[in-house]
Amino acid sequence: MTPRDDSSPNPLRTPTLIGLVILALLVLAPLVIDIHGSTADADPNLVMKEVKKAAEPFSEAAAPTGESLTGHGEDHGVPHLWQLGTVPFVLLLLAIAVLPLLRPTMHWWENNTNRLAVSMILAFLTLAYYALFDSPIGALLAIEHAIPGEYVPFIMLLFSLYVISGGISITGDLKATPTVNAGFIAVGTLIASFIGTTGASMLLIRPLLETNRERKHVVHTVVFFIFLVSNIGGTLLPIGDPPLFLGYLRGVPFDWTLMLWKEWAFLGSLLLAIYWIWDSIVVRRETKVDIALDQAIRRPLRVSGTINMLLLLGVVFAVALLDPSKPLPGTDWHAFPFMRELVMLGLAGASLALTPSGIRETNRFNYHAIAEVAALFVGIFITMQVPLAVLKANGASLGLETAGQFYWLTGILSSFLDNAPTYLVFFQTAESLTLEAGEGVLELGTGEFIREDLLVGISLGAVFMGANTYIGNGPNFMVKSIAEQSGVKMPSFFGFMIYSGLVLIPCFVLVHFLFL
Amino acid sequence: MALKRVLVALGGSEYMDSAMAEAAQLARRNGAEIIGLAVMDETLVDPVQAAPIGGGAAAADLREERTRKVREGMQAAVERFDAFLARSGLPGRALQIEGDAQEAVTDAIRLSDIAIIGIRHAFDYGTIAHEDDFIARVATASNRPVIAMPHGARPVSKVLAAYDGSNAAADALRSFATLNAFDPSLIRIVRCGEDGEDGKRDLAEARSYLELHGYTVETLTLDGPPSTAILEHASIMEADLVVMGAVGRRGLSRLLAGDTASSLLKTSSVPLFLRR
Repeated sequence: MTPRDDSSPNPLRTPTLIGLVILALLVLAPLVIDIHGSTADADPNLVMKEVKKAAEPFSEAAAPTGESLTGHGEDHGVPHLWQLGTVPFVLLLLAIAVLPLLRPTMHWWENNTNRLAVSMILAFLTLAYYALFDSPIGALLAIEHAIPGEYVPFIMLLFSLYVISGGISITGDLKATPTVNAGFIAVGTLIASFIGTTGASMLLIRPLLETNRERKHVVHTVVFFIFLVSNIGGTLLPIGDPPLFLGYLRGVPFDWTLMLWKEWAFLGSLLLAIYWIWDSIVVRRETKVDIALDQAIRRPLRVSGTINMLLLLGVVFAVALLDPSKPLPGTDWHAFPFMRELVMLGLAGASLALTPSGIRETNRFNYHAIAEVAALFVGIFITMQVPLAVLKANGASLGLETAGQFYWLTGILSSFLDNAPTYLVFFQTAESLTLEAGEGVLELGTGEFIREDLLVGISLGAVFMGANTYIGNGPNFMVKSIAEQSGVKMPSFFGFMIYSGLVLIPCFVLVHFLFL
Repeated sequence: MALKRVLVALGGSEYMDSAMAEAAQLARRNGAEIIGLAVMDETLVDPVQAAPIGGGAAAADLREERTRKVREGMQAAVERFDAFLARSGLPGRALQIEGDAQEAVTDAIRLSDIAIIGIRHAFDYGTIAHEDDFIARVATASNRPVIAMPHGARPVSKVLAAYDGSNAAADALRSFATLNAFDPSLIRIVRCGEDGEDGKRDLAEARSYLELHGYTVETLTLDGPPSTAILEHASIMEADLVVMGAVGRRGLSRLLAGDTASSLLKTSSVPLFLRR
């Protein structure tokens, strides 16, 4: 392999650039907070409420009365000329979907600086829209909502999980029986909620492939690994899958997702059983020579970089306990703003300092993937502000009512788009449907309400159905690439969808009828 | 018409040696030169593919890995070809092209008389392979005869020609006859399906044409679907070459109607002479 300068674990170059942007926006944040006057002390959730209050007069004033379709009172307003305002968001989603598919643009788009440029230009257009059709303060409020409110915590969580889990390596080569393979997948499904689906996938895919190196029929194993470890496993905690973390930032209690354990356990054990039977049939088709080789070539599993497991636990605790809007359980002490993010950053720094050398090299660790996420999500969070405001006002008139509708719509969109913005879109819609407290209604940390059955549908749809395609979730594609690099002939985009269509969709239908 | 230039695909696969041997056999018999063609196929190495947010780096890694493998594979294939030319003493040279493999072959074949390509895994050099009907598509696109070579080049003595009365089948026969590159002792023309009037007329037509060219010809009607019947009969009569038309159906019509040439390319162990 020809060495690539920019793939080395040296954190300079693009990440530095991204870091600078984050820093600049962080610096901007307090300035923005100042515009609300003295009531807004630095508590982000309080700030959000302030944002809403502050935003009302502008949007109300801007929206022509005839166009105001608000279903419930004067609480919300549709931004003036909102159709224009949503254009940057649509363009950004289109750029992400289409630019890698056009031969003239595919290589240009691979450069994270170019991605960042597109993302920032579209974010700027959204802000210009706010400034022109709302007010300059509206633009600042949008930044405040998007960047310190959502982007910074989001990216800090993903960054720290990415860095810390990239410092653990599992090597070894077991005997590739159906039970051992199912065991790998089961362990991944169990840990994905605690270290994130990306981390769990990266940790386990290499030893699983190594274990199956002597076998010829490996594709179905990788496919089920993608189903369970890269997606479904992450259901239980906000750390498991990015959309759940966004829900947590919007005030869903940290332990609320644990409620989804029944669906998680049902789907997990059903798919594992299907996998085990499938592999038991397929393993008989392997040649005697290959099986003998597999028997002969074995190495026990070895875990290195175990210090990072403690650091991962630290991230779980940071997210669970350091919520600035709530006192630390058992005390009346509040974490100061961004304390959680600073702690996560510190844990990531500790991982970089403490991980024995060599581990990141064997994992081929680099910052490209996280830099890509950071570059694109700046734009996603800012451009999303307009469609979210529209949904807040008009979501109730979309005609969506049942948990099943939310489950399938969130799921289908999550199969082809990133599930984080998809989750937010439906979360906002569900919120606009729920006006007051009552039976089966969850009070969010922001003071808003959301029907629990809808939230269950959205959460399951976003997490489960990312498994439907290679593009449904980041780790799907990473696992596919690593498998191909070690010689597994992975199915094409549509070939993979045949697997998900035949195996997953019927299981999702079952989940619908049993749980929703 | 004479055969003066043979194009051989340096695909790097297990079939490349028999393709080169077949090319040498034809070149010797006809006094032709051999052009070896190695292609770095960007549609294979660098496929256009959708990736999720965060997957871009994985896609780039994969591409680099493939590019490296393909470059190594091309280099090795060209070296094998050069050594082969030196050993055989035949005139020729190697071409290395980057781009779409189908376009590259179609382009290089314009001033050649025939192309010989290893039957499966053309130009993949150990990475992901083309679909099995790659050669049928090349034959369709290039409008030149193409031989798909499996293992084991041998002198062509018995030929099986599949003739269904279509333009493609007629072109294949005419191309085989006018090229006059082989010296078979027997050509057996077969037709699959019912033994009706039309069938008899088709077979008689084909027979009279090949006899005009001085070949010894037999005709026969086979039972069963062409995709299996042709290969079964080829093995019964120990044919050294199967001549047939490549229709090159694509998409839905291929799913519905099937494509005999494509399905033979998947399974054949006899060289296939294809022509649109």
